Amino acid sequence: MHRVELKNITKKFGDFTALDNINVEVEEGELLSLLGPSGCGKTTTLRIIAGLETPTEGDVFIDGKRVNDLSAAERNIAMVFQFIALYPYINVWENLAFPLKAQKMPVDQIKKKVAEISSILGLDDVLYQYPRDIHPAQGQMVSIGKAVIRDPEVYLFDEPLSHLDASMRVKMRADIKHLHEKLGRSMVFVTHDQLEAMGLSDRIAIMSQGEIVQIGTPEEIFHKPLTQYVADFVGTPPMNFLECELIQEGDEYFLRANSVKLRLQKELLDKTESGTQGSGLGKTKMVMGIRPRHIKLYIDGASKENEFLVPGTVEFIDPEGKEIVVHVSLAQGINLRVMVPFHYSVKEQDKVWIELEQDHIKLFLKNTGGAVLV
Amino acid sequence: MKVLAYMMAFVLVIGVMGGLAAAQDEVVLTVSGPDWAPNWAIRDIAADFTPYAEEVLGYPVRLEFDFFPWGVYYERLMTALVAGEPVYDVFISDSQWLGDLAVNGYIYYLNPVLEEDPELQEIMDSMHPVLLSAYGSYPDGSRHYWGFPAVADTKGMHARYDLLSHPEEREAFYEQYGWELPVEYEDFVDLTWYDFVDVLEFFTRDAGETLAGEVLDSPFYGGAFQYSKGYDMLAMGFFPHVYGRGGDIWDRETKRVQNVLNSDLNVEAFEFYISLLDYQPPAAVNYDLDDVNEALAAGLVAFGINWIVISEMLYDPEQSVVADDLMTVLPPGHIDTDGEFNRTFNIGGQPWVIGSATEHIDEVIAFIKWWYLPENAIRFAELGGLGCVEEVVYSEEFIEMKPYHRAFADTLDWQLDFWKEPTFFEMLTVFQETMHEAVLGEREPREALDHVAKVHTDILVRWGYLAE
Amino acid sequence: MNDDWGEMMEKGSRWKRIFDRRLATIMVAPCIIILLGMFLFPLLWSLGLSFYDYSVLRPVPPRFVGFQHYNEIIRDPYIWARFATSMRFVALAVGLQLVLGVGLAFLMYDNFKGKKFFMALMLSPMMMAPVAVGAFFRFMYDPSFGIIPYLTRTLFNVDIGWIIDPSVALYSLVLVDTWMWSPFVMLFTLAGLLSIPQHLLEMSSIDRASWWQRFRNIILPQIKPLLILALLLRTMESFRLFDTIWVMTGGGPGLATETLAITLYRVAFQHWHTGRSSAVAYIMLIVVIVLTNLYLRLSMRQEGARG
Repeated sequence: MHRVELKNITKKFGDFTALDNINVEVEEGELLSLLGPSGCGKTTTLRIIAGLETPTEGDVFIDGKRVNDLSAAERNIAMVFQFIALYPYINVWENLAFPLKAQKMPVDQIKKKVAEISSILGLDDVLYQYPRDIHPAQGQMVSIGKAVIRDPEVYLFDEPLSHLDASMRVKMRADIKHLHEKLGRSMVFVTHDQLEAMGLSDRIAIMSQGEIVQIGTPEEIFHKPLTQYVADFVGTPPMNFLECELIQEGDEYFLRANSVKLRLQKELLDKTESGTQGSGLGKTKMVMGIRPRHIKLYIDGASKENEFLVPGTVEFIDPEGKEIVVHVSLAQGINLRVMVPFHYSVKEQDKVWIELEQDHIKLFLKNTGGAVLV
Repeated sequence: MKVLAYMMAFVLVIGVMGGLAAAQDEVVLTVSGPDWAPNWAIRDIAADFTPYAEEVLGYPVRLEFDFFPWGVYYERLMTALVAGEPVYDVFISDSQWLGDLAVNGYIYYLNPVLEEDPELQEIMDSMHPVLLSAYGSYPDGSRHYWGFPAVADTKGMHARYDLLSHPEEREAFYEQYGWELPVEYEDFVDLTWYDFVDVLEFFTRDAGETLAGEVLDSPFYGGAFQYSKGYDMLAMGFFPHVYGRGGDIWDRETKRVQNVLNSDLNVEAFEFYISLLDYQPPAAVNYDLDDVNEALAAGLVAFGINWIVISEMLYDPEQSVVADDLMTVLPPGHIDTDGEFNRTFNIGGQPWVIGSATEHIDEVIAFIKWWYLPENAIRFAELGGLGCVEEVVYSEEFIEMKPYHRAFADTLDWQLDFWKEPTFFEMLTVFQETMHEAVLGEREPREALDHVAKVHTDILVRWGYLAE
Repeated sequence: MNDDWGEMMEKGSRWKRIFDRRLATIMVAPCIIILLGMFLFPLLWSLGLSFYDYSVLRPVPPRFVGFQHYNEIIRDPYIWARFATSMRFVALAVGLQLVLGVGLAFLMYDNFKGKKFFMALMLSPMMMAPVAVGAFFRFMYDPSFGIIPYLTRTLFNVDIGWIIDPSVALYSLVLVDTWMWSPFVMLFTLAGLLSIPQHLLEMSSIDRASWWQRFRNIILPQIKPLLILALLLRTMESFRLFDTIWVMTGGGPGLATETLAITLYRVAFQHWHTGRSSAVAYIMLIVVIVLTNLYLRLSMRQEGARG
C-alpha cells in the first residue's frame, strides 16, 4: 500500500493547465522530492496532497483512502511552508503546543511532548521567545517541530529552505535528512534546488510545465536522465551539450559538430535502441551531452597515441571549490566545460587535448529531447 | 516695460469703467427670511420691483433672497449678522427676535426715519394696531418702532365641512352628545374647548369603523395640533390654552415668572392640552406646522389648528385630497377667570427689518414703500399671503377672496405676543424641551412647569430683568 | 590653486545649503501659517474665550470670570444628563458598528457573485451628506407616512414610535449611524483581513485549529490595529455627531436625543453664550482626548505584552 497516491491528477486555473495528468506514489517511509523550476506545478501538486487545492480531475489517496472530499484538517498530514508559518503573537512553546491543544490533548501530556520535541530539534533556548525575535532558521525549525509534534502519516515540505541563507540551508538539509531517518515517515519535499533534492531524497520526481518527466532515485536521475531537460536540470556544473550528427567513416563512428569530429566507440552505439544499423540516426539532428567531470584533459596530448583525443584551446578558467572548470574551445562556437582537479596548471590560451569518457556520453534527439543513449 | 505699463493702464481703465457701469447698472438688495410659502410669494412679487425702481429711481434694483428652514433660520441669521457677511439689507425676522436685534444694534431704529418721511409714517399708521405693535415695536407695545409689518399671521382652525354636514354623522353626534354638531362658520364663534372635545372624540375612529358612510381602512382622528419640540411649536400650540383661561406665561409688567407660568391654572391648561392627544394621530407629539397641514391634506384628521398664512396648500387640489371639503373657522376658546369667553391666541407673523449694515438704505425704503402699494397687497393675498393694512384686512373684498380670510380677520382682536426680549431663545429652549418631555409623559406637568419657571427666573435674573 | 578651488566649492555649497534651507522654509511657510491660523489660533482663542463671560452676538465687553463656566458646567446636572445621552449613543452606535462591520468584513472577505456590486452598494451611505441622511430617515421614520413604521406595522404588527417615542428615538439614531458607518469599520477590517498572509490561515487549518483559535491567534492580532483606529475615529465622530441628529429629531422627543453636541450648538448659536459654549467645547475636547488615549493604551497593551 502506498502512503500517498496521486492518480491522473489534472488541475486547471481558468484556462491555464497547472497540472496535466500527474501520477505519483509515495511509499511508506519514503522521502520523495518534487523538483522543477518555478511554475512547473510542484507546489500545486503538494497543495493538492495537503487538501489546500482541489484537483480538477483525478483522485488523491492517503493510506489507500480517497481523500478528495476531505479538508486539510481532516487529512492526517502536516505541512511546512516556504514562508515561516508560525502564530506571530504566541511564543515558541505555545506554537509547538498549538496542534496538540487543537486536538484537546491533556496539558501535562502537551508539556511532555513539547519538551521532547524541542530537545530533539534544539529549540530549548528559544522556547519562550516570540517568532519575530528568533532566527529564520530556528523559525523554520519550529515549523518542522509543529509538524513533528502531531506525528502525522505524511509530512509535506513546500520549499522550506528557500528563504534561508546558504550555510543555514546546508545545516537544515542535514537536520531534515536526520529527522526523516529517525521518524521513518513518508515525506514529500518540494524544491527547485537540485542539490537539495539529490541530497535528501529517496526518489525524485522531476517536473516540467505541469508534467512529471522522470521519477527515480537520485542516481538514476543523475546518470540516466530520460530527457535532455532532466540532464540539464541536475548536476553542477551543468552538463555540456553539443548539437551534432552521427556520421560513419568506414568502420568508425563520429559525432560531427561543424568542423569538429568526436570519435565514438562502436560498442557504445550497440546500446542505442536502433544500434549502429539505425539508418535513421545518421540523418537525425542530435544533441550530445556529457558532464564536465567526464571529460579528460591533457596538456601534452600531441605526444599521446590516442585516437579519441581532440585538440582545443583554453578559453578561460573558473575555479570552483577544490576543482577547476576549464572552458575549452574546440572550434569556433564549439565549447566544452571540463572539470579537473585544482592542481592542474592550465592557463588561458593554452593548447590542450580532451577525451570524452565513452561510458558517459549521452545522446538526445534534438527535436524531442528524448534520450537515445544514456 | 512699456508694454507692461500699457497693459496695466488698460486693465485699470477697464476696471474703473466696469465699476462705474456696475454702480449705474443695478443695485442688489439681499433679503433673508424663513423658507416657507408666504415668503415664496414675496419673492415672486418682488421681481416686479426691478422695473419699478428703474422708473422711479432711474436704475434697477434687484432683490436676492436667501431663505432658510424655520428650524435653523434664527441661528443662520444671527451668525450672518455677527460675521457681518453676507450683509442682509433687509430681513424678515420673527417678531420675538426684535428684542435681541434692536438691543444689539443689528437693525435700524425706525422712529427717526419715520419722523423725516411722512409717507412712511402714513404707511405705519395704516397698519392694524395689533399687528403694528407685535411686528413693529420693542419693547413690546411701546411707541419705539423697529420693523414694518410684513407677513401677518394668526392661527385658525381648518375643519372638514363634508364630515360636519354629513346627515348620518350629524344624527349620530346628536344622539351621542345631545347637541348639534357645529357646521357653519357662526357655529364655531362661541365654541368652547370643552364642548369641542366632544367633537374631537366623536370623529376619532378606528380602522373598520364607518366615517361619513364609508368604511375606514386605517384609523381616522379628531384633530391635529402642534406639539413638536422644534422651535416654538409646542409653545404656540399650548399658549392659547393659557391665555384663554385668563392665565399668562409671565407678568408682562414685572417679568415675574414664578407662580405665573407655573400657576395651578396653567398646570390644568397643560394637562388639558395633553389630554387632547387622545384624539390625534400617535405622531402628533411631534407635529410642527408642516405636519399639521400634511395630516389635514392627507385626510387623516377632521380638524387642524395652524398658522393661517400657510393655508393656501390645503385648498390646492394638487397638494390636498380634501381641498374641496375644508372650511377655515375660528379656533375654540376658553371661559376665562372672569367668566368671559376668551379666544386669545399667540400671534405669528413677521416684520420687515432693515439691517443696520446696509449701504442701500434709500433703495430699501423705496422697496418698503412699493411693497405697501395696494396692488401688491392684493397680489400677496392672492398668493396666500396675509397683509397688515387695517383697512384691507377688514374689507369685504379681502374677506371674500380666500376661504381662510374671514377667520384671519376675526382673530386679529385676540392676539398676544410672547417673550419679545433678548432672553427669548434661552427661555424658549428650556420651555420646549422640558414641556415636550411632559407631553411624552416623562415628566409631570406641574413639575415641568415648576422647572421651566425656575430656569426662566434664573435667566431673567442673570440678564437683569428681575432682581434676585 | 587647489585650496582656493576647494574653499570656493565649500563656500558655494554652504551658500547653497543656506539657500536650500531658506527655500524650504519659504515653501513650507504658507502651509504652517494656514495650519496655525486655521487650527491653533482658533483653538487657543476659544480656550481664552472660555474664561470670559462673552457673547459674540451682543456688543457687551467680555468680562473675565476665570473657571466659572467650567465650574458651573461640571456641577450642572443638565449637562451631565446630556453627556450621559452622548455616551450612550457612542457606546451603542460604535459597539453595533464594530460587530456589524467585522461581520460584513468576513462576508466580503469571501468571493461570491456580485461582490463588487454589493460592495459599492454598501459604501454608498458613507458618501452621503449627514444632513441628507438625516432628512431621508426623518421621512422614512415618519410615524404617519414613513416606510419603516409602515413595514414594522404590516410585517410584524408592532407599532414602534421610531422618532416619537422617547424610549426608542436614541436607538433609531443609533440604527441610522450604524447604517451609515458600519461599512467604514468593514473597510478597515477588510484591509486587515486582506493583509493576513494566506499561508498562516492554511497552516492553522492543517493544525486543525478551531474557528475561535484561528480568530484569536491569527485574525484578531492582524486586524486589531486597524480596528482600533476605526473605533477611535468612529468614537470621536459619533461623540460630536450633530447634523444627522439635528435634522432627524432636533434633540427630541423631549430630551431623548439631546446629546452634548446638540446642547453645545444651542448654547453657542441659539443662546449665544460664546464664553460658556467655548467651555463646553473644551470639556468635550478633553473627553475625546481621554477616550482616544484609552483606545491607544488598549492597543499599546498588546504591543507591550509581546515586547
